[in-house]
Amino acid sequence: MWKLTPTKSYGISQKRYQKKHKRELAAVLNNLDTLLKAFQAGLKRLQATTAFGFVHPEPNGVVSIDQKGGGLNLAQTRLYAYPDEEKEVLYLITFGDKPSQAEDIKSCASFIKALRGGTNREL
Amino acid sequence: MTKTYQTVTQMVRETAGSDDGFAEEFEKRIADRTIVKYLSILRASRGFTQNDIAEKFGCTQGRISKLESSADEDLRLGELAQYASILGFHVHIALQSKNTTPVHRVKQLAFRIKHELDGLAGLAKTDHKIAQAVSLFFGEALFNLVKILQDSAGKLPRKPEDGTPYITFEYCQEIREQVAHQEEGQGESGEEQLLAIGEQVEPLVHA
Repeated sequence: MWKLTPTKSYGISQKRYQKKHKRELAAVLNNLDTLLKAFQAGLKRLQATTAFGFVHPEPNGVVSIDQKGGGLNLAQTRLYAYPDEEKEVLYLITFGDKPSQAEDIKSCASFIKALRGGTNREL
Repeated sequence: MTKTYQTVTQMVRETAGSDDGFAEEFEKRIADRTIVKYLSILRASRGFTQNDIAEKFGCTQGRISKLESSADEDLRLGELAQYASILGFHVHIALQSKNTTPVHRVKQLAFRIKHELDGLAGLAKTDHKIAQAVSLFFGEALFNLVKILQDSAGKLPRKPEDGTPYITFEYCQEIREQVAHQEEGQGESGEEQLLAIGEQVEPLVHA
């Protein structure tokens, strides 16, 4: 059964979004809820990126989940997550917006590298 | 130790705090979208894109996107039926009293099972091959229902005076042999499983 594992940096960014971008946060988390339930129903990562318009493939097997479907005039927001299909764990890495996109993807790469090397202190 | 969560609402409830009402609002948002969410997950798991559905619906992809992100109360019955039909499903609507108890619900399901079993029996008419196949299935159904009852009864507490169960269900010798036969076929896992519908088994009872 798929589970969620938020990282420390995810926790920090969720608090930041809860203070300043509540509507965007709710929209992204609603889409995360759909994605998690879809994984629990047996959907694979690749299927998810084609079936759901709010899920985007990112490097290193990471997916980003945006705010689409959450209402009008929402700022572009992305939640970066890594679905570990073997362990059935969806790691939540961080939230970001358009300007922070390049930096967020770099953070994801470091997270995955550490996760695969078994040295992740982010968790 | 890393905290894990089974659901997003559980995570939000435990991490968002209760000061600004975010967690409560979010929980309501999820609860308000149960059906549309289920539809979109069903669509995805069947390998359909929103464009595929839109094509069959005869509308734009944007309309399907809007439908999937709306609240359940905004969903029209006709849209629900059409969407389900495209995915290969029928829609069944059940109206239940707010005061319905678990006992009522079990009784309703039992009547529903009886109705379906009568339908199966009616299929046979004078065809003895169908009658034989249906009787095999009735045996399976009995086996599975008894197993379900055993499982639920096993979750009851024991009698305080002597630690014995309040109720037990036992198969007759003939069925016990079938159970043993089935368990042999389960390999090393040892997990009890219900017989799959349509699985070929020897008759457990004689019709």
